Amino acid sequence: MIGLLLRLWTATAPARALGVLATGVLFYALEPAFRTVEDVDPRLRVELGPRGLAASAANLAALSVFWLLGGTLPTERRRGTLRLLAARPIEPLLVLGLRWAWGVAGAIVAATLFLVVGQLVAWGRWEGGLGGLALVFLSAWAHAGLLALLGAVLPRGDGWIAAALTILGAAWAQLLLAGLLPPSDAVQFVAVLLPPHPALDAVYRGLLEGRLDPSGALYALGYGAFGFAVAALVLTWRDR
Amino acid sequence: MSQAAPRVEAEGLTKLYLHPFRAPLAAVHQVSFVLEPGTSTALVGPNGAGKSTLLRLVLGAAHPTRGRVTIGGRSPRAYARRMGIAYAPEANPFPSNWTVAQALTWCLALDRRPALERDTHLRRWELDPWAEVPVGHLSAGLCQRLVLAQAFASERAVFLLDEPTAALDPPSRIRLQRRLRAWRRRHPEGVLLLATQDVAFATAVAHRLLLLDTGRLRASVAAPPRGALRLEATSAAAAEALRARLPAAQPGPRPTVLVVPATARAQLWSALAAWLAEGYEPRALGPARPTWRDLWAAGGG
Repeated sequence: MIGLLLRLWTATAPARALGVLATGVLFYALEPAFRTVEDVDPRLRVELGPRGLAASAANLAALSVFWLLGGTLPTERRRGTLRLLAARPIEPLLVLGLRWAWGVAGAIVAATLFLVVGQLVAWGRWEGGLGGLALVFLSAWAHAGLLALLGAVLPRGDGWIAAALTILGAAWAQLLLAGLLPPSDAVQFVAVLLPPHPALDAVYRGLLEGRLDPSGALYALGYGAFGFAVAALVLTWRDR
Repeated sequence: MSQAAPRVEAEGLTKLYLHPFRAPLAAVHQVSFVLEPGTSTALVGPNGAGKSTLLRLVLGAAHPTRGRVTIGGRSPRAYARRMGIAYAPEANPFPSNWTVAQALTWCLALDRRPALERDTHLRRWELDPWAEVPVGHLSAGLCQRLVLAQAFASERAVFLLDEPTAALDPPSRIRLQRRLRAWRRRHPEGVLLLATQDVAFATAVAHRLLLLDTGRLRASVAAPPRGALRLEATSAAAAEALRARLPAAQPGPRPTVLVVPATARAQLWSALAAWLAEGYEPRALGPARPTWRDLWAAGGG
C-alpha cells in the first residue's frame, strides 16, 4: 500500500515538481560559490567551497517542502478527502505522516541534486560537501513541522504564509545577529515562533568547522516535532 | 464477505457550530435513534435539515457537541479504524488532476484491497471510457458514479451514503437501487444509512424513513412493503368507507390515505368497484410511497 500511495502522489505532482525545479535553478543562478570570484577573502574561502553550499541547499529544502506539501492539508479538509480517510480501516494521521515523509524526502532529494549537479555543472567535478545534508534534513524537518501546523489550523494559504514566515525569520535572525533588535522578551518570543534560523545558522557554522552543533540540531528537531505534534492534536480533535 | 453485525446507536446527538460573532447554529439537535443490524434507513429532509452533519457524526468525522453515537458499542472512529465504513460523500473528494483510475486505485489501496479490482469497478459503474480522464473534467453525474464506485468497492458492513442520487441520470438511479439490493444480499446483517431528498428513492431502498428538519428528528415512518399500493381518498369518511369493504387495507400516514398490501390486491378491485358505485372517488392511486406531505403529517407539521 505504501509504495502504491507514494507512486500515486509522485505521479500526480508534476506542477509541484516543476516549482521545485525552478527554485533549484534560481538557487543555482544566485549561489556565489558557483560563480568565479578572484581574490577571495580567506575568511570566505570555506563558505564558497563545497561545505558552504549547505546553507543554500537547506534553504532550497525548506522552499521545496512548501512547494511539495503547501496547501495539501487545507484543500483535503475542504474537499472532504480527510473524511474518506476517516472511513478507512487505517489511522488517517499515518497516511498524512507518510505524505509528509514523502514531501521531506522529495525536498532532500532536490537539495542533494542541487549539491551534486550544481558542482558538476559549475566546477566540472565533485568536491564533496555531503555533510551539508544534515543541515538540509534539519531545515526540511523544521519547515515541514511549521507547514503541518499551519495547514492544520488555517483554511487556506498555509504554504504562502509558511514561506513569508521563513523569510521574516531569516530577516529577524539577521537583525538579531547585527544587534539591531533589543534583547527583550518580546523579541525572543517572536524568534521562538519563527522558523529556527539562528539554530540552523549555528549548525551551519559548525559544519563549516567540520562538526555538528548539537544544541542547534536539537532545537531545529524540537521545533519541527512541536509543529507536527500540534498539527496531529488539531487534526484529531477538529471536525473533518 | 459479510462482517460482524454492527448496531448503530445515537443518543441525544447535538452538533452546534460556534461562531465568535453570531449565535451558535444547531445543525443537529437532540437526535436519538437505533439502527439495528440488517436494516436500511433513510434520512430525509429539506436543505439544511442536518442530514449530512448527522452522517458525519455517525462516520466519526465530526465530533458531537453533546450526546454520543456508537457503532457496535465503539466510537465511530474506533469502529472505522478496525472494520472500516463504506462512505459516499456528497461532493467529489478527489484532487481534480487525478484520473478516475488513480482515484479508485488510491481508495482500493487505503482499503487494502487488490488493485486488480479497479477495472472491475470501473466497468461495473460504466466509468471505463473515462478511466484516464482527470476527475476535474468529469460531469457531476460521472463524479457521483466515481464516488459511489469507491464506496461500494470498500465492501463494509456499515454503509453511509450522502445524497447518492444527486446528479445521477434515471438509468443510473435504477442501477444504484439494484446495487444496494445486491449489497444487502452480501451483507444481510449490515446497516445502511443514507441521506437524501429523494423520497421515492428512499422508499425503494430503505425500511424506515427518518424525517429531519432544522436539525431535529420530526418523524420516523416505516417504508411501505414492496408491491403495496397507496390510495388517497377525498375525505377521511371516504377512506373509512373503503376500509370497511377492504379490511386488509392499512391506515396511511394521514386519515385520507390507505395502504393496500400486495397480498390484498385481488380484493382491492372488487372493493373499489363497490366503493365507486357508492359515489366515492379516489384522489390518487399508485405505488405506496410516502410523499413529503405524508412525512410532514407524520411529523405533526
